[in-house]
Amino acid sequence: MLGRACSNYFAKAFSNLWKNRLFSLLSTATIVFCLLLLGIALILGSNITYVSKQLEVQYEIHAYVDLSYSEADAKRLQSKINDIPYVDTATFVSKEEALAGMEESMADSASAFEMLHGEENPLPHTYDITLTDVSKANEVVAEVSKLVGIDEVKNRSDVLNSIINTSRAAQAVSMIGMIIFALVGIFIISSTIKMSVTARQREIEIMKYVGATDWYIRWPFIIEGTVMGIIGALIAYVPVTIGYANIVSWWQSNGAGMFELIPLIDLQARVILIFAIMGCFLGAFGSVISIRKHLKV
Amino acid sequence: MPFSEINTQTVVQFEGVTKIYEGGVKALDNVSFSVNKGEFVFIIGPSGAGKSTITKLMIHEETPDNGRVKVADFDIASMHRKHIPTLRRSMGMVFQDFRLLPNKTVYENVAFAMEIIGASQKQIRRRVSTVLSQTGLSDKWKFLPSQLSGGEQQRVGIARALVNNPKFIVADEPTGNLDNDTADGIMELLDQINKCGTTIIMVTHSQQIVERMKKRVITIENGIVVKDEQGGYNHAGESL
Repeated sequence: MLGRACSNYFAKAFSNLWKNRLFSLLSTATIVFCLLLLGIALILGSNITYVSKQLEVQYEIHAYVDLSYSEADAKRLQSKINDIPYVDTATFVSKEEALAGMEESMADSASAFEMLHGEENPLPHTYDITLTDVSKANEVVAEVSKLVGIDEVKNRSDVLNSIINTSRAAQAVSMIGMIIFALVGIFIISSTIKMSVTARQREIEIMKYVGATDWYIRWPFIIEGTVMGIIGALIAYVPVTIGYANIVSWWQSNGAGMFELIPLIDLQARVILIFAIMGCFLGAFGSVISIRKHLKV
Repeated sequence: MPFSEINTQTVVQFEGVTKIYEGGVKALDNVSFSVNKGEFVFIIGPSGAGKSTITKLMIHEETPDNGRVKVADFDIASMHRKHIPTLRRSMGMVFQDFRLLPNKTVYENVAFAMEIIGASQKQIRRRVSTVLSQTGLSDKWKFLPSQLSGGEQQRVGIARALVNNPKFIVADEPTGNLDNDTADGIMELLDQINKCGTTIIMVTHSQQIVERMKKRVITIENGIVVKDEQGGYNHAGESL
């Protein structure tokens, strides 16, 4: 009985798709358009988050040890820093290593550093600290500053804040964009499907009078909407991925250096999954909304 | 008769039913009548008398504001919406404007009433063939409604109403769009169906039909049952 009903629904849905092919094409085109916009929002949002993560990884806090501390005393602070929550790594940089680093980066003025070796080295021992969560940087800075033997903690709060804000804004914009495109999509699709439903209003009315349940009437429309959604998702997937592949390729040859874009292969599965889910949702939900009014007979 | 004491033979029972539409228009005022199994009942009255409201209440397109309506085993006022399809499957509906699906053949128009109740294709073929033969449409099964005369289209409507073996048929002005000769043919068909045991409740304006059929007639005027008598128009609808 259930199998017969299902095959009946599918037969009806495909027959209706063909009979109303103009409406079907129009609805599918609308779904493709909405998914293209949604795809752009998704890719943009994902990439900004991806780039923010790269910048977060590069982010470090520098903790300077009291100048009076010997290297052995300074190294004893390592375990205390490691115990602070959200500290990922704490790399000890001795004052000699720091000076060597400066000499290397300023090779042209290397002679100026010669007299600073040994007891004359004015640089402190340092800890370069990376975090497991950069949004907790201020808490970590406060904890590190409390340690006896730490003279000063430098934290590029401007960079940090811009990273956090950009990442949050990107996620919010991407999410809001996707919600707006989904709502606009549902509205446009339900309007398009409504034309198809209105054309079949009499059929629905007669079905109701002879005792059809609401779900008997709804299912073929939902299947139609879902089929249009899947077809729309497949069509939209092609230009979105081809377009993105070209952007990634152009970026690698022209703009790469500071940060990378998400490789296409890592994004493909997400795009097709979200497109399929959104396509089905737009199609099916648009159908349900369109038909609701006509079921009140 | 109190609602709880309804005869098991009763198919439709109206008990003190009042229906007031938005704007305060009173369509029915304390209407009571019952229709028993196997009866052929006419509901007559001038336009705006409340005949259509009675039909709408029977199919749960409307609910009563006061009183109770019982159709088959359902109490229209208190039944849940989800049971409406079951209620409608217990009856057959015949409409003045036929309400056929224009892009479906005669066979498909009748068959789809069985499809919605989940009948198998084998059952559908057998039953549709029987009712098309009963309604004189055996040789027209492949035709579209547009290729049929008005009388033939109404026969398709009757075949569709009959195909699920309903407890009763509600016919709302079934001859309203037909000429006299064709209307006679439709009435003859409904009479035959009634003689086979199916209860028929027919709403009509046609005085000739009511007169000729000599069946029970319920006359409604201004939302009130003014007569409920056995016999033709002369007995029942003098004030019509």
